[in-house]
Amino acid sequence: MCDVRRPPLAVCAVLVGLAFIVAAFVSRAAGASPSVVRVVERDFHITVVHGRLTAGTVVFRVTNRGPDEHEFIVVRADHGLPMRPDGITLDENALEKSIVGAIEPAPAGETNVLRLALKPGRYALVCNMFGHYMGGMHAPLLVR
Amino acid sequence: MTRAAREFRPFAPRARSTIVAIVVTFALILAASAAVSIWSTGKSQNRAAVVEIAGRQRTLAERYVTQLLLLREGEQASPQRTGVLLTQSVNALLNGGTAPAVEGDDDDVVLQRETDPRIRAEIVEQQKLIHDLLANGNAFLAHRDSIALPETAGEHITADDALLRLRVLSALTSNVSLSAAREIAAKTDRNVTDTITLQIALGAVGVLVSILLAWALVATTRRQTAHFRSLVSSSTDLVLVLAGGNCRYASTAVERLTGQPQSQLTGKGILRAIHEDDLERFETAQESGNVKELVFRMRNAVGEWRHLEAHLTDLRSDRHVRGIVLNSRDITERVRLEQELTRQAQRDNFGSQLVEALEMADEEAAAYDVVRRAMVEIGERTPMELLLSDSSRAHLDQTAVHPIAGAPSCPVESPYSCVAVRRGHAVVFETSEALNACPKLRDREQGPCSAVCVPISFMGRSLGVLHATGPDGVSPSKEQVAQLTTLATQAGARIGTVRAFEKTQLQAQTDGLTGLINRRTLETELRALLRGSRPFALALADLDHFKRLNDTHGHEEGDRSLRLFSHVVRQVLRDDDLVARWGGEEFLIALPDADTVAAVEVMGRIREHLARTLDGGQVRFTASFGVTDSTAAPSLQELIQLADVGLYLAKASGRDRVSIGEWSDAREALGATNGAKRAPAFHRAAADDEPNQS
Repeated sequence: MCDVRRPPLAVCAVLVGLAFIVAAFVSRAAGASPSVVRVVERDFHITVVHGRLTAGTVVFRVTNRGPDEHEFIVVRADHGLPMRPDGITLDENALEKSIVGAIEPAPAGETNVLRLALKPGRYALVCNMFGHYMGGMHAPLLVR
Repeated sequence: MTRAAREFRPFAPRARSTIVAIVVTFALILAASAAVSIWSTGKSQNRAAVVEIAGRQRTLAERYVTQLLLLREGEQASPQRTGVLLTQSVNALLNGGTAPAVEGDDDDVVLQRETDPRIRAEIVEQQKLIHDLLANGNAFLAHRDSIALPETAGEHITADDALLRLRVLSALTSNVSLSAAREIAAKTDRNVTDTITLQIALGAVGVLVSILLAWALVATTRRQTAHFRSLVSSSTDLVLVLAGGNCRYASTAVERLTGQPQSQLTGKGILRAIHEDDLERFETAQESGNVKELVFRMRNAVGEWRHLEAHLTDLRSDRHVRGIVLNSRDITERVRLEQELTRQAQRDNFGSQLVEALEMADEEAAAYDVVRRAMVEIGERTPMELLLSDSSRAHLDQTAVHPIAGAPSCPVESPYSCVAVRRGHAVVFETSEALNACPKLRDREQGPCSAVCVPISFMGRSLGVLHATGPDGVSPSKEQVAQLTTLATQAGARIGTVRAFEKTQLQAQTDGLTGLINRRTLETELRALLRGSRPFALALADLDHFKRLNDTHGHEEGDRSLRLFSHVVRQVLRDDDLVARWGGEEFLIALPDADTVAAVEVMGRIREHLARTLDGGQVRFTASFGVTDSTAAPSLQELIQLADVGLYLAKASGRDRVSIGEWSDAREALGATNGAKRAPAFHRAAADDEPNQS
């Protein structure tokens, strides 16, 4: 009669752990998940919540808490932001090449998503409706 | 569980409630639509004012900054007033009230409290911005630092320049005012859109409900129409609507009766189905409109005329009908029944009259006369004859003939050669040329004919046949056949009765052996002669030695002798002379209008004729006669006694002779032995006959 020997429990646990590690690498090689930036706009400031941002796809989940309408513009701010002659609003014509993406004015209570491919650099998140920027609706964003 | 059948109420005004429901629905929809329109219009007017005020805030905010600058530069301006306008207006926008007029631009506007929470939040934000704007403005005019002023609207203005801060606040106020105005306008647009949608929905609901109600109305009307159609179609009453001499409508019952579709009955088509004799009355009735009832005939699908009883209703003034309505019922069966009852009554009348007439006929001849008159009653132009059998019932004799039309002259000879007699019931032949016609109808002088043959019987015994003929191919009417049957039955009964009575009477009046009248009959006749004072002679005859003849040759020879003597006497006597067998071998002979002398002569001839008759070899016998006449005695009894005396004398004188009875001889003949009751002389002579014969 032959004698059957079972493998030790510690060996099994090591094998399962290795399998998880391999799976994690394979997943990272296939494509990293985009960074999510939660943005809350209200009269008259912008709150940004995010972790460490790296270049690549960034998803902005923008919620307007009102009570007024607000827009959402992502603009590169490496060299400052030019103003119109009135000194109250940004000169969007001059910023045309710097604007990475935008969400049109949305009413209070609405949440919109903006997916952008951001390169490393300094960005500004602004609402450029009349008086809003100067009223305080701007926030910086750094992408490494 | 079965569903209860729907109540059949063809006259229920269901359509009325449906129409009312349609009208009410339209009214409700219209009222709701109007209310929504009015409400919406009022709302829109209010919103327009709100938008105007909200938009004006933008201008006022900018004007406020401009006036601040002008005032600071020493120009005349009133930023405070603008600030008040801004504050009062935003308060009016938020909580309702009067938004003050801007000088030279407009009038005071009364606003309602804003109820939309989103717009209220914007206006509150605006209110805060105005507050901050005015605070910065006041600081600006007072040359105070405004950076330290609280920012109540959530703004975070980083600019240090007071004017820039004012401009930013003005811009924010302007933008928020614009945003609020846009939101209010958008809401107004939504309200208008909602109102339009509501109006469309109301219209759609109204149309839908109306369609449903209209469908219900159509269904109800259709159902009611179907009810009435089924009522009219299934009704056996025939309905016609006539107008202007034309038929405008014919019900299904008319189509069924005539077998023609309505398209052929409308117009003048109906007139082709009406009997030509009724056409004028029919047309008059429909033209006048005054006739309420009409009976006319209409031809049915198989060409038979049906009697219709119509009730006419003049609905020419009724715009739904515009004609005269004939509601007709088929009364053919009733008419036939009435005709049959009439015929029955006539038959009964004929029968009762016939019975009464026949009851009064006490002889066959009288019965035949009744039969002839009855023949005329049945048909004046119908040849008829009554053929009856004789006593032998072997031959048929023509006993009665139609007095006007004559006899059909049936060649039948015996009762049982007649098919009607054999069958025992009436036989009708429509034509003598038919294969199954009686052969005795063929080859008659008058040519082919129809015929009726009714057997006549009495107590089950056939008496003959009543025969009638008519035109060829035309069957006699049922009424005629019935009357002929009645005549045959009643005539047979009466003739049979008369014949039986006559036979009985004859048997009662005659002698069965000789056929002569009997003693009682002769006595009756003689008394009648006496009562009439008609003279007559009387002879009493007696066969000589008859007892010896009986004893020698037997009773049959005696009977034959009596019959022979009777026959001889009848041959010699005149028709109105009377002879009776008086009893045994005695015969009493009465000769009206004769006397004793004539009687003696007649008796002599009898003796001679008897002698000649017996020359043929029969058993010979002689007879003795006693003669008298009515002048000899007043009573019959006495006359007979005298004849008896004469007979006594003849017997006593040697027999085979004639003697006259005289009262002078009576004493000798009668004797005086029996005073109470004298025995006839003859009997005593007869008692002595035998000794004398020896």
